[in-house]
Amino acid sequence: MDSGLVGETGSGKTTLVNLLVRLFDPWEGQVTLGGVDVRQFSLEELREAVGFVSQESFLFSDPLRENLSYGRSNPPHEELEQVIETSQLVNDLPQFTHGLDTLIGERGMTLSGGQKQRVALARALLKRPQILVLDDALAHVDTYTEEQILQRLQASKGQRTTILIAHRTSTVASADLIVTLEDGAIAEIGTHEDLLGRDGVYSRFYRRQLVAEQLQEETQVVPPEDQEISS
Amino acid sequence: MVDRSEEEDPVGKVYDARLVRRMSGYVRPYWRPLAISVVLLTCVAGLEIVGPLIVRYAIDNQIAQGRTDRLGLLVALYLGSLAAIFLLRYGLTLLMIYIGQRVMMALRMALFSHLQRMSIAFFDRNPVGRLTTRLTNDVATLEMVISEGIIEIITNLMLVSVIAVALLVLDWRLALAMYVFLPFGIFTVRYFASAQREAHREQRAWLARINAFLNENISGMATVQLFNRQKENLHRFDGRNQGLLGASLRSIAAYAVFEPTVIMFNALTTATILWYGGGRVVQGALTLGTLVVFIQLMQRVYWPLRDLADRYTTMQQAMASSERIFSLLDEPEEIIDASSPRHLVDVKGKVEFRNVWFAYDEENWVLRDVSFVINPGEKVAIVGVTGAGKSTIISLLSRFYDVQRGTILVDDVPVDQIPQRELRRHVGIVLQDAFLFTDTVEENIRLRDSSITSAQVREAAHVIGADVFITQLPEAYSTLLAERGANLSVGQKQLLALTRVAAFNPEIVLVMDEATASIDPLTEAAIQRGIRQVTSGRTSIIIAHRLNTIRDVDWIVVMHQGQVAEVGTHKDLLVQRDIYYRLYKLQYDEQESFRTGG
Repeated sequence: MDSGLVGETGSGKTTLVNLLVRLFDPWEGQVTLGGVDVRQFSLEELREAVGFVSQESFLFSDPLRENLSYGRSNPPHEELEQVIETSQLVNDLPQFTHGLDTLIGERGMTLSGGQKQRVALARALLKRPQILVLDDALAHVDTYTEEQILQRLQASKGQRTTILIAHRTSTVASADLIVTLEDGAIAEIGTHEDLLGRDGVYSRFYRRQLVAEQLQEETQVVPPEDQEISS
Repeated sequence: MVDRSEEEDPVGKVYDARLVRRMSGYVRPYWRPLAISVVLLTCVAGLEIVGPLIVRYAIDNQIAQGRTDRLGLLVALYLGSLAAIFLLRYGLTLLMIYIGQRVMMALRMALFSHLQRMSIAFFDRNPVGRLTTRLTNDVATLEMVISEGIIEIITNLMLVSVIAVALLVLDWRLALAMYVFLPFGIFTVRYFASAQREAHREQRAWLARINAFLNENISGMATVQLFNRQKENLHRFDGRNQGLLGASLRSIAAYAVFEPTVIMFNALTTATILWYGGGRVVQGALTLGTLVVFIQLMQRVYWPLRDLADRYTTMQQAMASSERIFSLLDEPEEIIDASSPRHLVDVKGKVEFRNVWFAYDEENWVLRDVSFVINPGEKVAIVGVTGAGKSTIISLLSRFYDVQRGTILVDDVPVDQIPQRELRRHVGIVLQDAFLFTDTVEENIRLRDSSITSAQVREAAHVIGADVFITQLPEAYSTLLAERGANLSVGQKQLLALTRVAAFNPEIVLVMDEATASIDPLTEAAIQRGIRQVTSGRTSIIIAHRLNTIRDVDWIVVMHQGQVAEVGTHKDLLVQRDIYYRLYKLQYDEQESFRTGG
């Protein structure tokens, strides 16, 4: 099942998923996984089961291949290729001078925000997690590529549960369940259609998105050809 | 933020003429104390010889002849020479430290004032940590060399040469017999020194690797834990840790064998002097006193030699540090005042953007052919979605960046022809998140500009309405603000930022008024009033998010994808029912729904 989490910055979305992987523990109440309190599992077991792609994708100063297999050493070649395809890194590979052996991170090749996020996504997918958490993980990826990735994730999901945190309502629109947060509390739960009908946090988000998107689509300007661009 | 300097290879040249020449430029103003030190140095080297010569005289002319009549005087002279050496060395050290510290102070000043001239683009590229390291660590390394290293090196070189000559004069045969060992001595010293240096270099390289590894793994700890990499990473750390251990042990081993070797050569030379010199004393060709002098002075040749080898690493580090310091000083200033600047007289406050194209990275245009004219005293709002280029307009008008094409004019003078100081004196910015310094409220308002009186500060605070909260602070205007104003609320900080600009009283005011959550309605109203006050009677550009502010302006520029999409009054633009209309609806919707508690 896919679920989406929507809310303003600071409404508690990231905190919620951090509790799931026990980066923090709640003061009260419990987070359960398959009906079992997450504190009952060993940390290793719990984190093995969850593929986590956070807002800030942290990559290490290692070759791309090592970064990808961070959660699973020596993955079969087909699987490596598959996650590179799913995360749409495949289009970027020609840019990497030494292919998968290109050094990235602080002391290596500088990746764009979108590329970093996609490496982080591929890294999490390679673990073959039962639960995939995407914490605003495609924010720096352009809308078209995001669409491509979401389609591929959908196609390859199998039994995987996905939790999507997003700023764009389009990212979560197709989720089975959408939860909106406001000031640390759940505001609404429902599907895209349900929530649009309620005129609450979600529909407000949706309208804002719509205007912004309409504005985005208009007028693409190209600098005049006859002048030198750089001074 | 990772400080790259930790990873930089610490090994450089021992002597780089170009760097030394530049450094000497900083030392030159202190040529007087430097000249005195050289004189003192020479005296020290000379006095080091005097002691043994007194001993020689005492042995040959007194003890050997069974006399004691002048022995008291000689002992007094001997002690006197030691006391003189003590005083001279004391003075010498003081002088050198004085020069070293002065030079370092000048370097830090040069670095800081250079940094202040750098463009904002430079700071976008360079992390704070790296720049601070230049001003502190690298300068400190150099200081060590100037005030300790150089003095030791020169003293030792001088001492060795003076002694070598003195021995030849005293008895050239014995001196030559002794020098036979010197090449072997020097060779061995150099051999072990280089072995030690190599091990030391390796040690530093491993240390740098450990630093980089720790840095990355600590900042990426969440990722490490989420991917269950603790064991694997511990293993990797172990590899580096073992590497450092090995290198450290090798370095110590080299050092351990070095000391006894020096002592052994010492003993060998002493033996030669005793054997050959002793024979000559018996033959009557040499006095007993001279023999004693030889043994004494010989000791003083070996230790300086050893010390010189030790200084090698320090010099390398110093060269690497000065290299980094000078390369920072050589960073070109990107935003420079025109060579024949034009001055603004009696500023009216007209602002014009004429076909401005701008990109932060010369690739992605942020502004595309932006043109508009704001007449003196007009209030204009800039609206648009995030990334439309609104804040860029403000950065460009203050000339934080230079435009690639087109011109920005203030009172019909292009901003790149106005001296930056002057331009920024006439263009005031109210930033969203005003930077507050660890200082009093009053100084945070006038930024230690003594031309603004306390009365003016209070007047500005009163006009803006900040005085209400300031007077309630424990010490009112003298209250010390914590770093970045941590002891103030967001709203209070904004009010201070408005007061700051009001106190400086510029003709043109730029206000960044982005939407901020978590501001209570009362503060909200206070800020709004402050904005109205600071913009009244001045040419104002407001990046507005509050509806009331937008309704308040004379006309509006609607930015869209780096272009001016629409221009007009609030009413006109609403009638057009295009971008502005939609933005307005959007914002209005939200602000209304917030107001009604939606």
